[in-house]
Amino acid sequence: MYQERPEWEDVIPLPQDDGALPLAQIAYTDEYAEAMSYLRALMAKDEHSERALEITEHIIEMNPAHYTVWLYRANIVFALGKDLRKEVEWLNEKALRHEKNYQIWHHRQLIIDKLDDSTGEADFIAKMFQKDAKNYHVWSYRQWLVKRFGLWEKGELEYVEYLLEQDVRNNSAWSHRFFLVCGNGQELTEEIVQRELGYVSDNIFLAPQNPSPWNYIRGILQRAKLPMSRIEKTCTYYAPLDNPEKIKSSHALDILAEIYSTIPEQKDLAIQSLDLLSSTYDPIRTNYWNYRKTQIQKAAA
Amino acid sequence: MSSNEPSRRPRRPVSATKKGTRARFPTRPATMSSPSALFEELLESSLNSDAPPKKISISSYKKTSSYTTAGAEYPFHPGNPYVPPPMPPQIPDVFRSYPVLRDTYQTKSQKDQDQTVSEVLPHITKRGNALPALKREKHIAFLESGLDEEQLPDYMVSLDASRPWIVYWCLTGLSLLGVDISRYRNKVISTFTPIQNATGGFGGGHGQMSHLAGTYAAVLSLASVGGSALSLVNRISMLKWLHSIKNPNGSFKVCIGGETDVRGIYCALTVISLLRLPTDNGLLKKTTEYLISCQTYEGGFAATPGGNEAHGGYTFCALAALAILYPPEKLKELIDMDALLRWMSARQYGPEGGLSGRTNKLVDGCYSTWIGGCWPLVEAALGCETGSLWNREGLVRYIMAATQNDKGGLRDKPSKNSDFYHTNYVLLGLSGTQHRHWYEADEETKEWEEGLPPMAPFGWKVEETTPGVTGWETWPDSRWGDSKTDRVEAAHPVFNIKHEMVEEARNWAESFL
Ligand SMILES: [Zn+2]
Repeated sequence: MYQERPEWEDVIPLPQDDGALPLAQIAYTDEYAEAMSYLRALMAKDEHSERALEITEHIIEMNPAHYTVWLYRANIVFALGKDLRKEVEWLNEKALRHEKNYQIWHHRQLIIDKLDDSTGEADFIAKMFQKDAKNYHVWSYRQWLVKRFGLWEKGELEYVEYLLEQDVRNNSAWSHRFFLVCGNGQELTEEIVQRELGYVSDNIFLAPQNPSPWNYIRGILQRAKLPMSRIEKTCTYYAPLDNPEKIKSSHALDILAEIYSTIPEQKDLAIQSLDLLSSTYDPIRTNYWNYRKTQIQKAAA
Repeated sequence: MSSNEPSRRPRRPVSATKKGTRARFPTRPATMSSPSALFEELLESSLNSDAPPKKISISSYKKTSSYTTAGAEYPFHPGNPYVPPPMPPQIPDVFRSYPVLRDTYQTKSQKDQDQTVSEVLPHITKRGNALPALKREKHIAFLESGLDEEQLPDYMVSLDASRPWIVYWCLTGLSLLGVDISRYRNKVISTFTPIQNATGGFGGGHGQMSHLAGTYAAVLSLASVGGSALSLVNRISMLKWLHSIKNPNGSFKVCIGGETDVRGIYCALTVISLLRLPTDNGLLKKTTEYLISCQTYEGGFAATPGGNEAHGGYTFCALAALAILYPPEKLKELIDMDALLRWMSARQYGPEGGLSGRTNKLVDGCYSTWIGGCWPLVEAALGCETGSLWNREGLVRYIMAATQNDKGGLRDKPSKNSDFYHTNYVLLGLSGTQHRHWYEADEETKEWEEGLPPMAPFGWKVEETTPGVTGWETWPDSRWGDSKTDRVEAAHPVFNIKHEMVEEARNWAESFL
């Protein structure tokens, strides 16, 4: 208890004011209520001290979603010139325990930015991805690292490929690949497009009904201002319209419908693809497929 | 959990607020009640010995030309009260079997997906073909516990920086269930008084820094209880604070020193438009550009333009933010609508019927709002005459069968517990399935102009989806003549509170013009 400790003697705790008729009041433990009262007193003075640092740690341990405490802590850490490496180590343990927390990753970003050194970050992120390879906060943080430290060519693509070998359906990894290939204002040369087409078709082969690589290649072609017909052969391979029983991918059908809808003579094939989708291969989206049909018919009229 | 489901019979809503509050919106015929509902009512009163049997004459069932139900043709006569109940329609195959195309190559994502289907399917089919009713009273009790309990248990300390959210979730959920929440007005004002900071905005609790999320939840809660409770907000300090967290690139930090993403923009715009704050001195400079740049190659929107993945929550925030600045038809010009439509449509899975937040992620009840809530915006942007673009029946089945906790509250999926957050966002999603929104501009509700408060979100109109009247998908009414008890109130598609309260806030703000 802070009130029994001499080094806190000079602080007059500020109790919480919840108003006369509070809704959703929480029955705090005595420990939490007391610590918060002392924290409010220190924050009122904007005190940057070892004891302030200690109390932020104590409260974060009890409630890691307390954004005010995190921001106060960052100010103290910088004001006291604390060892930022130690702060990162302390953060690691917090991050592994609380996976869905905005504050931890924002704090980490502030610290690493100040540290001006991303050594060790990739290793820690790998640990996080072992728990959840689609963690949105962690991916956002990784994208920030790539931009902040210019890591575009520093093994990122290889790492994405490693993750996709683990799980080819990890759409976050596909998304990161798109960021690496296009996110730095790079020109999408024919060579890069070829490489991506090759990579995508290898992965579609593993699981043709996996939407991620289909979305990805659609995005790449669009960004490179190339027509979808570049992948017509791949699509007809997985969705032979002349032999509908052999269809292996609804995504291939979807893209075929798009390719054929732009060619007046092949409008019927587009309609056939959409009919197959709505009757058999993706029936829950029937309303959407029908909408696409009306769009084609409108364009033709 | 399985055997003692209450028998399916219509229940009266706990508080009948439908009358009187709906005048501004087209409604369906008020006197309508299906024969089977009348029958059950009769049966109920005849079984109930202390209540005299209710006289129901044939004329009390008014058949309107615009509305027919499957049961309407049954020979019904008070002297011969037995009416065979209509058989529930068969659950369509798409909701009872695995998709036709399934890859044999297994990875973690596929295993998680298969596990979810095997978890959800038994819930969808366990009552034969009958769709479970909305457990209205239990959900009301659950949400009231968040507001009326003396104190929430200490393990909820993790929500100590989110108390405005608890208030907003519980109030909104209750109001959708037909409860009159104006009785909370004094408590809401009292609760938010110490949370408002002198420097502008609301924090997560007393002594906490102002945060856009807490401010958003506070402003919506104050608007929801009506009676000028919004006057608690200090608009001048609020505006100063908003300027202090505005970034030059058009976005907003969630708090001073905090992170930036489209959540912040949506929360800020909600506050600006409901409080009718002026937007001069560049308050919304480049905001449109920032929002647009969050659309990803997949079609959905990400948290920031910095390379993140398309995500349901951020997509709703980005679209709703754009819908605060512009009438919906303008959205077509601003964003890649075809790509958005494809991605949104792909968020609905069979057989679950529910919605997922990202490609290759699982369905979750809260995306009934984050994805489901994008549909009215997009449908209005494209013009409504094409009909609904998604599968409302699927979402209704998922919500009714898989997200209702028998003990009260709604949840992510059957293996998860119910909580206030999911209860509110699942109910908002259910409301979305039962209503049609369209946009009707008036003198004021035009595109945002530099310097002025955004007025575009005040042009939304709503009606219950009514068979034979609009030609829209009408689940569940067209399948169940007596499903009125599953009805929830309509919510504003941008602000996610009841339409009436948005109108009231609009009137409240007239004095600031
Ligand atoms: Zn959820």
